[in-house]
Amino acid sequence: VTEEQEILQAFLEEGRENLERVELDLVALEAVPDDAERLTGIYRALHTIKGTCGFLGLEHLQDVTHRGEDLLDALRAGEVRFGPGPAGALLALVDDIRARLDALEQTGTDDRSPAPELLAALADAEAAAPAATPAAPSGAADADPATIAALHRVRPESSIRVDAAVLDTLMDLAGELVLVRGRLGALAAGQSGGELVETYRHLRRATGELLESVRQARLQPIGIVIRKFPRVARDLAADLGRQVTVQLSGEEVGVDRAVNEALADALLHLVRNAVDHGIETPQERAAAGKPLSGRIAIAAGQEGGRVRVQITDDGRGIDGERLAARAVSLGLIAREEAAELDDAGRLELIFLPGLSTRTSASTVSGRGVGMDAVRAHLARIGGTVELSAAPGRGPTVRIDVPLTLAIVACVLVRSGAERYCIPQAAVCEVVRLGSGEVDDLGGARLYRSGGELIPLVDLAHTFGAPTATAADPDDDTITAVIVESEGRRYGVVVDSVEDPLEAVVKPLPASVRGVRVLSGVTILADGRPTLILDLTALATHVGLTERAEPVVTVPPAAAGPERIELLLARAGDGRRLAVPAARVWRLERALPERLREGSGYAMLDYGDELLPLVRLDAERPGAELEVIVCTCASGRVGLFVEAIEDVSEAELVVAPSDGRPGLVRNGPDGEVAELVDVDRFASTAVLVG
Amino acid sequence: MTASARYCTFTVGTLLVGVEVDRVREIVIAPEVVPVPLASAGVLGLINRRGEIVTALDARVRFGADTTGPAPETHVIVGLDGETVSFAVDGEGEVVEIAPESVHPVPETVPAPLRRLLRGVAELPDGRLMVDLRAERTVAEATP
Repeated sequence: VTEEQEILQAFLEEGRENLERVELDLVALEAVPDDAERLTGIYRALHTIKGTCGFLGLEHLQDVTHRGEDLLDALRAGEVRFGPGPAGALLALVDDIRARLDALEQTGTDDRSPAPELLAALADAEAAAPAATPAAPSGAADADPATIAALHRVRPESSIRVDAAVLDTLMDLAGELVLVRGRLGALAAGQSGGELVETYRHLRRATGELLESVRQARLQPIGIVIRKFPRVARDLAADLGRQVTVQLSGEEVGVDRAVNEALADALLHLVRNAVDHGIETPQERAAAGKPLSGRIAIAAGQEGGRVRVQITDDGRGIDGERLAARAVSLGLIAREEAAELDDAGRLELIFLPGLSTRTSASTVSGRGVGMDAVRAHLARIGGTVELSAAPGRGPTVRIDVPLTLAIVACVLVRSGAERYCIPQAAVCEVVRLGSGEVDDLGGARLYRSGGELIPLVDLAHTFGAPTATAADPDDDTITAVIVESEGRRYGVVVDSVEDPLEAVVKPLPASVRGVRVLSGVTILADGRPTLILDLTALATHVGLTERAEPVVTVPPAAAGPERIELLLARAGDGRRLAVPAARVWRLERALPERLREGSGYAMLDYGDELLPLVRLDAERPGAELEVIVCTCASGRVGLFVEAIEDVSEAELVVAPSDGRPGLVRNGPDGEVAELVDVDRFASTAVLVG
Repeated sequence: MTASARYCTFTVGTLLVGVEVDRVREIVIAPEVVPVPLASAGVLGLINRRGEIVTALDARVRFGADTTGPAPETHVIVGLDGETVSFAVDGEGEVVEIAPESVHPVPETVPAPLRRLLRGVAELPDGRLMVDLRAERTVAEATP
């Protein structure tokens, strides 16, 4: 592949992309004819094509684009009003240019002289008076069936343009739905089955997915930003008498608009740097045995909630020794400090303020912006930039930015004197719980929802805030925002829940970014900064690392000291019992009416099924049954106990043998509890039942 | 430092601390500070400075000064690279001109945590000593 072919190829790619954009903008302009910015964008795109035509000696192409520019000049000057006439003529022009690009690719020539109809259409549109009512669609387009066909050639589009305001409305409506979901959840609470619970669960799932989809819809492809770099690099290189091509990948990765903007600035600087400092002149490259044209690769990819962009070039690379020497000579670091640096440390010097600005004295990248500014710029949106390099090769720059940040629908909660934002997408429901609905297991509070155990996390307590005194001492209810994060459900206990809001998220300042439980900060209408909670980090902070779904397989109760998680309970006769936590499905509190007893067996009416019950003592149950529903090999079995006490980790001191329960030692008091062999009890229950 | 430089001075405990004049954005008295839970000691919280989120640091904690009593209300807003921070200081002093020859290295007997934060010690014409702050480090140290 010769250099000319490479340049031509770049021109064709760029030209087609420009045409695509022009086409979209023309269509958009028809709806909003006064959008001067869009008009300028079209002008710029055509101008770009024209400029390169001159460079490549493509006369006819240059001629038709020039005519198009004339019309656009008139439009921009307000001499002609945008309407169907100019739109038709310009769209016909787009198709003509596209046909020329196709021909150029196939035959390498542009020898077709401009169609008189097209030129006439452009001229007619330009001659139209501004006050005149829009004419019928362009005569030229009508006259040329091929052009019409081309105009209406519909490529299968996988995306459509949507007004941003519509997306905002969607987000608001989805937020409203979350509130409805919360109310329905309150109605369904306390029921362990039935149609209402099923309906509620369905709604909960659908609402969550809806919110996620709306958030997705607010993303735009990173290609919008990176697609402009092939041309930018080419122009810069041309100024410097060098050649460069830019390869792109991952253009489809979606990022928030605000992230894209920050990336655009950072990447522009990096590409300039690569062209200016990295890529050598063709002579130098030839001498080094490299292709004459330098290569810059920009690759984007998504990982979780982050977007990574990697920029590499095949230029001369960065000389760490020289960087270190320069940093010392500028007094940025001490000589001894420099001597101790390893390769990575020396490269890191490029981020020192004051270093890169003085080395970039050329016209291309010498704009007083250094890598330190790139880093600072990205840090503002919660991003990072790192640089690595293999000796003698071009550097690899890795940028890591969050996928979204701009606007997040939040629920505002109050805890003590402070208010916090909880991202609405994570909120399942808001519940008010009476004291009877909260279980206290050794200080850890739980809430049972539809039979599921939901740990409660007191925000004020977790944050070490002074416990707020209840406004009404008779009111012992608590408010919990039930959230779901990475498959874990838990309740955030707050003093009150205030209005939902659309929070414009700002990243935390670097000096407090180490606080993981916060994902950002927003400024409320009253001007007060308000912190946004990171629910995943909060769960980790309070030790909620268990999976939400119960694990059916239990580790074999092998001999030897082994630590297992246990649910501790007290039997009616005072014995202390321990059930492997992994086997606990749900905790149930049931009235005796739900008990079905026969001779020698007991079952619990459990929604659609009858649950075999095992008594762990000989006593009659009290007014209410405390039932630990366990999973076992044959399904589920309920163990009913006097009281549920605690969840804890304990050391297994005696492994079960010959069917007798094992013993565990637990807690600081070293109290011993009997380890319940769930499978043995289950088989008993089935046998008896 | 090759030419004489102008410094804003502040008192923090018994220290007279200097920050280059062109880095000081403004001095704010008793701004509203929103606490940041689980932040390291010395982080007072966040301030909304005309839309910019600024971290407020208790300078007494950073400089090992006596921290009994409420945090000082004089906030010196300092522009660092990539971030703006506010140091809550005991008192605001005058602007001084420091000639390079009056700057000395920080004596080794200064406790290491404090020494790390200082670039040098300057003698003022009136005989007082002013410490030249490496403001970036005070912020880096604030991150747990």
